[in-house]
Amino acid sequence: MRHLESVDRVTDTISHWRAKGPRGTVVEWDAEIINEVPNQVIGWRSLEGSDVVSAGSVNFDDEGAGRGTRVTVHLQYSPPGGKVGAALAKLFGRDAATEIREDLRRFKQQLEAGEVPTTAGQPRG
Amino acid sequence: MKALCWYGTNDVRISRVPDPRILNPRDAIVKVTLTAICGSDLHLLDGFIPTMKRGDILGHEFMGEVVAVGPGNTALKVGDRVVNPFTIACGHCFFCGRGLWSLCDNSNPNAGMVEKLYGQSPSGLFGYSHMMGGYAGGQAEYVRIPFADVGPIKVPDSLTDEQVLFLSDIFPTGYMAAENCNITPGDTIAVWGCGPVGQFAIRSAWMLGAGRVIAIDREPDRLLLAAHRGKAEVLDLTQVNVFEALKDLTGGRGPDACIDAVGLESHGSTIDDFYDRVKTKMMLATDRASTLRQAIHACRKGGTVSIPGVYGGFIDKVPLGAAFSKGLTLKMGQTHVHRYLRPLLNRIEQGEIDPSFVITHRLPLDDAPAAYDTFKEKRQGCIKVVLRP
Repeated sequence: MRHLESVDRVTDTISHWRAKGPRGTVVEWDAEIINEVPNQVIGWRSLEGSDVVSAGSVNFDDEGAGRGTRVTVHLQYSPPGGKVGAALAKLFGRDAATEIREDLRRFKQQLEAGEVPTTAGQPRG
Repeated sequence: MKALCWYGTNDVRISRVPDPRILNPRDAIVKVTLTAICGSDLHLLDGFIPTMKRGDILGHEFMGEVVAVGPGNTALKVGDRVVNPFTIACGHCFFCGRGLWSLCDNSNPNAGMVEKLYGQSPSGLFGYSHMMGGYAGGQAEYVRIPFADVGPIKVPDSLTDEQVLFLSDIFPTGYMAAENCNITPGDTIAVWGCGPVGQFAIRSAWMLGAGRVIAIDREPDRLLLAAHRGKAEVLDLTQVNVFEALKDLTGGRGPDACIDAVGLESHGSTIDDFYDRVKTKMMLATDRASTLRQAIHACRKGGTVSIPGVYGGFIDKVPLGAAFSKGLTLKMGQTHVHRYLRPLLNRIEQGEIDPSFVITHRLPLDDAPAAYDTFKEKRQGCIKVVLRP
């Protein structure tokens, strides 16, 4: 989640999210966990007053036989109009599914390899 | 530092670039003491591999001395002398766990790029295009090694750089090519391409119990090396009909396994090679494949075609009907180098093989651009170039 600036825990189930958009715009929302089964699923929805109305879930399924855990993200969001809407469109690009897939790939890399592979900052001619 | 950089087709130069630094916890930085030009680097020079960018540092065969270690790396320390595998592997994923190191799931930062072309991403590679990770290579004074706690192998001071450098790629690559042949004692193995990988495939085929090794090339110097050091029977493809010759040598049956150690820039002498040249020139195909076709055609029924030669894109006129009808097994892929480092180092230590036998040119890194040209044109009997920064 390259655009995410911060996540602050407000209560056990409510958190405040802040993401950076283009040209200094900021998108903020509060998310409430509405469903949580340890090691299986986390479900959330945004609270009133958020810049963006969203709801989603992450499921964790054991693939069995040492084949790892399948992580599935479901995300629905309805972007508002105006500046914030434009910022959100930039955040997710045209294809939110691709963005989320890349986020999941980095998540997996961090968990499995302990770091996300990079070449940023290496020399070149 | 100085590094050999790619600026376009047939344009590589020594450039001054910043020194590499630690970017991730498991990294190490190595001061390169010896590096080599690989036949597969010529595919980059010739512009056959997509997603290269101007200024990319080349080189995936290198060794040296550890000069810096990331905070998450407890396996190495400053001063260690190491040889580094050309494939980059995390050591923890589904694929690494199954010994399929060159298919590591977590080492390619540009996995999404290569998935568009291949469906899934193989491991990252040093100095081998952006779709393979865009990692700076080791034809340089210094190089950064990611996941350096599972890749580089420490080598004993009793062995010279030249004796161990080729653990980085071509010795394991030739060895895996032979291993992929599933050799049973007495088998006849035919090897197309007597470049460095072919030479190691020949030596490895003997190690694994082959009864006969037949080497095929068009370069007299390479055939000579295959005959003298590889103890192979040799066929000059410009002098004989390779298919007929192989049939004659095997009582009509064909070799039990065929190794294509040539890959996508095959120089054939048959009509299909002319066809490939026209199609690749017109951008209607990306790879030339006369060797692969010949290997499939020549292989005995139920045999194996093993492909260490690199293919990058699309080829046509692959005789899949012959492969199917003869019940062939096709095995291929980038080498799982990590798997072979220890066992092959042991063979070198025990004196079973001295890999430096393939070296024909020893040059300073500054001479790398000219060396690429010499190697590509196979001038001065060039088979393998090593460069000292």
